[in-house]
Amino acid sequence: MAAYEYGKAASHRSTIKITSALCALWCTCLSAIILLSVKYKFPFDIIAQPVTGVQIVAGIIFTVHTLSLAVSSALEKDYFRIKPKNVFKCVIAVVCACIVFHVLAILFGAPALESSRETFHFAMLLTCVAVLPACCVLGADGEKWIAVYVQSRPELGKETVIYITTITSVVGAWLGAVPIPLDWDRPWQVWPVSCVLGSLFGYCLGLLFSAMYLPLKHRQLSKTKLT
Amino acid sequence: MGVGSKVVFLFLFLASAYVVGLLIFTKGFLLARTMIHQNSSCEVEFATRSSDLAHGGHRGCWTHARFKRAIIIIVDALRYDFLFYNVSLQSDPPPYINKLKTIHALLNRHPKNARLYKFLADPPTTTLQRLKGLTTGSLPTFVDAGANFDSSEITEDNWVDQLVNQGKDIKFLGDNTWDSLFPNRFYKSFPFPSFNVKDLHTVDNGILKHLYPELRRRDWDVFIAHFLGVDHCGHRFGPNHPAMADKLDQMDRMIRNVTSQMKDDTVLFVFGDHGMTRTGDHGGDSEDELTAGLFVYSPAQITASSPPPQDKPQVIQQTDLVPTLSLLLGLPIPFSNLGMVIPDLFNHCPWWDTQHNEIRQVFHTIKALHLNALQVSQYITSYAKVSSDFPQDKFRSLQASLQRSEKELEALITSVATGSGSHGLLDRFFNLQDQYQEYLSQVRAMCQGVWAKFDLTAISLGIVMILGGVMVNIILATCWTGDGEQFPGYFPFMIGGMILQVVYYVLHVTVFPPSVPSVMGFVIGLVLVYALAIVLKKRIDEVSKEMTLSQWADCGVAALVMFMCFAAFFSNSFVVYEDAVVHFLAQSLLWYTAIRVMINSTQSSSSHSKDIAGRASKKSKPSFVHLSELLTSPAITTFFIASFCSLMLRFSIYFRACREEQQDCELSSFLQPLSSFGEDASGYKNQRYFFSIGCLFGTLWLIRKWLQHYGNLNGDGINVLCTKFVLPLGGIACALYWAVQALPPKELDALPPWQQTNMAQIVYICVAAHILTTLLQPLHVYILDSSPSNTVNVPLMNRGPEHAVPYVYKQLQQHWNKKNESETPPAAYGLGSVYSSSLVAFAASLFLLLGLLLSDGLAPSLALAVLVLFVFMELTSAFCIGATSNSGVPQGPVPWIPIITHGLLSSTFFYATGHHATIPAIRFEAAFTGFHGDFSTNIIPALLITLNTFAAPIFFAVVSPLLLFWPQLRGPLNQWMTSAGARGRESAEWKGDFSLYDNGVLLRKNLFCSCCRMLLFHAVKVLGAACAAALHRRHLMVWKIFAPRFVFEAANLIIVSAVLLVMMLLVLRVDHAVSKLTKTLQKTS
Ligand SMILES: [Zn+2]
Ligand SMILES: [Zn+2]
Repeated sequence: MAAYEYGKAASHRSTIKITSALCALWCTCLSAIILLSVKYKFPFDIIAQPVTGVQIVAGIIFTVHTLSLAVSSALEKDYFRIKPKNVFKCVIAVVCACIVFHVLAILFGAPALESSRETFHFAMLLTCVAVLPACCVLGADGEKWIAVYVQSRPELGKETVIYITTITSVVGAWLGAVPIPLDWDRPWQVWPVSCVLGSLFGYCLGLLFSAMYLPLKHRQLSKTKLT
Repeated sequence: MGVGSKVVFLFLFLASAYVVGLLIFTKGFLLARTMIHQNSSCEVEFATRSSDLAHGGHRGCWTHARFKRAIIIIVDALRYDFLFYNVSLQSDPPPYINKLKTIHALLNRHPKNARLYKFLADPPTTTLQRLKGLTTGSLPTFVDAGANFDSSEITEDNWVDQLVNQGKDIKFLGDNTWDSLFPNRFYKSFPFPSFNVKDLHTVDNGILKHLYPELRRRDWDVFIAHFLGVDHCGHRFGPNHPAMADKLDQMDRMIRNVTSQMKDDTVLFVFGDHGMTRTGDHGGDSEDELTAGLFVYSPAQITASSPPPQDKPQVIQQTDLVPTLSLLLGLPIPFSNLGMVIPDLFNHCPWWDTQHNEIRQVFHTIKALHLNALQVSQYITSYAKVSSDFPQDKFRSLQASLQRSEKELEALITSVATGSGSHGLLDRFFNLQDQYQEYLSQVRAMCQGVWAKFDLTAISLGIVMILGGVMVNIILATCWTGDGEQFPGYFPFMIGGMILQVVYYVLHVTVFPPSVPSVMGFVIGLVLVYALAIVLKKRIDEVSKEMTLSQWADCGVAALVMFMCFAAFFSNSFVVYEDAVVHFLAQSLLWYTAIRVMINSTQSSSSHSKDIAGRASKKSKPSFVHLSELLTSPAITTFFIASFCSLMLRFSIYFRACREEQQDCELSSFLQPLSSFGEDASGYKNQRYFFSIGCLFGTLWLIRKWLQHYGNLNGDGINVLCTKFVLPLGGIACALYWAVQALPPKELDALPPWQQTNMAQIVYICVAAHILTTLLQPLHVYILDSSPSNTVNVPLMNRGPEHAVPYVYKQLQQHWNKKNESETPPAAYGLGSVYSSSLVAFAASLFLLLGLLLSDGLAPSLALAVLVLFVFMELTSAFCIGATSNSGVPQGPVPWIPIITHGLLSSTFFYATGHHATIPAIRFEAAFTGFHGDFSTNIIPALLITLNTFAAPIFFAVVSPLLLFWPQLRGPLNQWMTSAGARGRESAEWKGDFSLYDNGVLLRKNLFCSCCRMLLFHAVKVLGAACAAALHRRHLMVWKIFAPRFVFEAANLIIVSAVLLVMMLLVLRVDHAVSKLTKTLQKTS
């Protein structure tokens, strides 16, 4: 990932540390919730009732991200991202992403009409973990989007986190489809439970990975700068 | 030797290495035998004369019937030790021990009325194969050549059919496999589904509900009950589980009730069709799976001999049941039987008027054995006539020994009649009995040696061979790059090693006696594979230094998907749902390609705009991108194009067939022939007919438009005329043929035969004519001579900038005409797509042929394939152009991602043309397209069925060389997808795929490399299928899932390699024609 070297001036050490710690915290909370719901059906049963499960998880993720957006804009005194026009653009992007994911799931082989409710909720969740964070971090700035996702040059910090989690959650959702045909007769093999879980685990793994990756990379970068 | 012949020979060599590997594997894995459709009849010369029946007994066919009725109870997977009662029991026995107490009691109480045997099954120990063996008496095989593939109905002679012929009534209860094996044979039947292995009780309780009332009615001659609970319990819990004890207790009660109701004229057989392993599975050939048990009982005395000691049970083969049952019931022994009557059950006859003596007993046995031996002799004689499977000298010596026994029998009969030489008579009788038994068991051993054995050596040698082929293939597909004509230094060693391996393996499997150890073969194979791995490692190290991140990602994704394809063969669920799996993977790669293209074009366009914007003032940079601008940006265009392609691919789902194991699958109406819809559905009938016609003509029209676009339909060359007129004519004939076939069956049959088929024959003629002209005159190029008299012709022929595209005179001028620049060089129409157009024309005729064979329901799927391929080629071109960063025109062979996508698309459409990798899914009706049955040879139907079954792989292999040429064409979609910057760079000097002509060596090597990569994809899949079949040879589903999967994959590889070879030759032919053309151009200009 040589691309990071070209990133803008590296952020402060403390910001990196805070971001990393927040990632780890958020990852722990989210994975705890998911594991509890998978293992003990508490506080909700994501396997038996994927629709309600997705609604709750997506709600949690949505709230956390919007809150963090509000808090960070307040802290950084950067109100560009929460201008109504830009927020509107982001909302449009999120809705589009949701539709695109829904259509993609059908194109990849999900049933076209029946269980479309489940498919839509899967698309919603995938949007929440793959696109929504990016919207919160990058806002409506097309240049930034291109820099992060097209040129894969995210700034070390939040942008790196969303870049990694987008990839891991999409890959996780993709891998989640693998066990569906197996004849194990498990409840989690039913569409879309495995894909939902796959994207959630992908997201958590991405968070965990970036929590470890950020400080390491930062140290490496600052070392090379010193020498 | 030129590069052309070099690459052809290399490819041929590689393909033949694969074929040899597959054949070796197949020889070890698939058991094959020729089926003889002949039934035994009552009137055979060797049957006992009627005088012999004088002393009483029931009337029989070859001999008198000992019993009037028989009850046959099959307890699936009843292992011998479930039946056997162990008196000296250690503490803590497994739950299945000593549960069948009734049998033990009967054996003890009536030693002359009951018998217990070890009942050895022949592998494969699956229920279907076992039932075949237990009713026909023949050895099981995977491919019963000449069998009726349409259903699993048994067509070989068997005792069920013999009973029906004799007018006996059979009543059947239990496993519905019987119903599919013997449809409409049973006078009354109660079938229950056998598929759900997890359900222990439905079948058994269902049988038990009807068993006793139906038995009591005594309106049957033979009563068959097939219980599945024990088998299902084994599959679910294994034998060491309390549930097994319950199940066996239930069986014990059932046997007690049945035996208490029996009368003297009835005989009972209780047996398992196979055993089970310690884990409760079966299918393979381990001792636990093979040793089932057989219990015979009758209230009347059935044997004169005393029971064998407990620790030395008698061992018989499962096929032995067939002649025993037949003769006991007075039936002819089924024609193909290889079993031997159980001698014990024939040494007592209740109708003897005088006292029983030993000579009489043994003579009675010998009479049965004599009939049995003559039947077997008749069978193997007629088998030897149709097949050369048997070793000749062995066969002759066996027949000679039977002759001797027959003479001895006659001599003995005369000496008994005359009463002379009674001294030592008994010994001579015993001796004769041994001779007959020896003959029968030797015949069986001979047949077994020829037909029914997994040859593990051949299996593993075959796999090592294919593995070696894959390694060589990887090296051929990656290591011979660059301009040079010479092979790298290690090529001769590699090819030499490969040849050594092939020769040694072939010798090992065919010539060497079985005693030669196979270690040598493995050493050769492993050394080769190891050496190749070293070469490959070096090569990878070399390449990986220069690879960028995106190239790494490409390689990683390609390798991951390839591995998934490989690994999917090892799970039966993935094989069953492979249609969905390959569709999913194909979609994934399609979108991966699309995303790569989108990223590339955005990257270059943003850098492009930055260049411009950088020069202008930075403030004027628009912060808000206009919607129209956004929608026409290359990335978004690519997105929509990819969506279209993906959507078309998604539509292919509706053309899939259902395989038996896919439980929630609904049969698509496209798979039903139009004639099957009744009058009430005529609206739908019309809609579908016109939809199919629309797809057919739409595709032909698209192809025609494409050729026109590149100027390939100008002039009056015979091939151009053929493409212009013969192909549409063929399309019309095809449409008419479908219309005729859509008639209701009655009206269709009323037509004279030639009217039913002539339209299809016209299509065949059209296609043949088109292919022939394409071969004879492959170039769709029109040269306009530019002698001074008609210099003004050029603008007249041009109707737009696209039509001017084929002007390459600048090129020609530079290359061959440097001196006289003042003269106007000739204009060549269609030169810019000279390679592609020939391939497209070839593919078009094949499309018509395959569409016809797929019939109207599935031809739209092929049209869909054409559409998907077209968009995929455009997408791939954009991908390839993006991948080669600077020069714009890709120079190397086709990259891995498009190759694997192409292969996956081919598999997807294999399923989307209504096929599945199972034998019953083959669409045999294709053989009658354009023919009216009664073929003189098997070649034509076999060819038609192959073309139908592998329509998609063949079509995809035919168009595969286009992947190499397409990026050069820079089609319209492609230009939309690439950014303005790249567009501007290219449009100045468009040469089309003619630019590849410049470097003949590179063209050939790239073609070869691409074809090798294509082949590699299929070879890796075959390797997976072969390994999975070998690994799962004991799996319950091996003959239903893994073995057919391997057969289809192997056939696919062979067909694809043949087609690829033909396509390479075709491209070389086109290239040859192009070089001829340029020479004439040189002369004229
Ligand atoms: Zn069975
Ligand atoms: Zn079984």
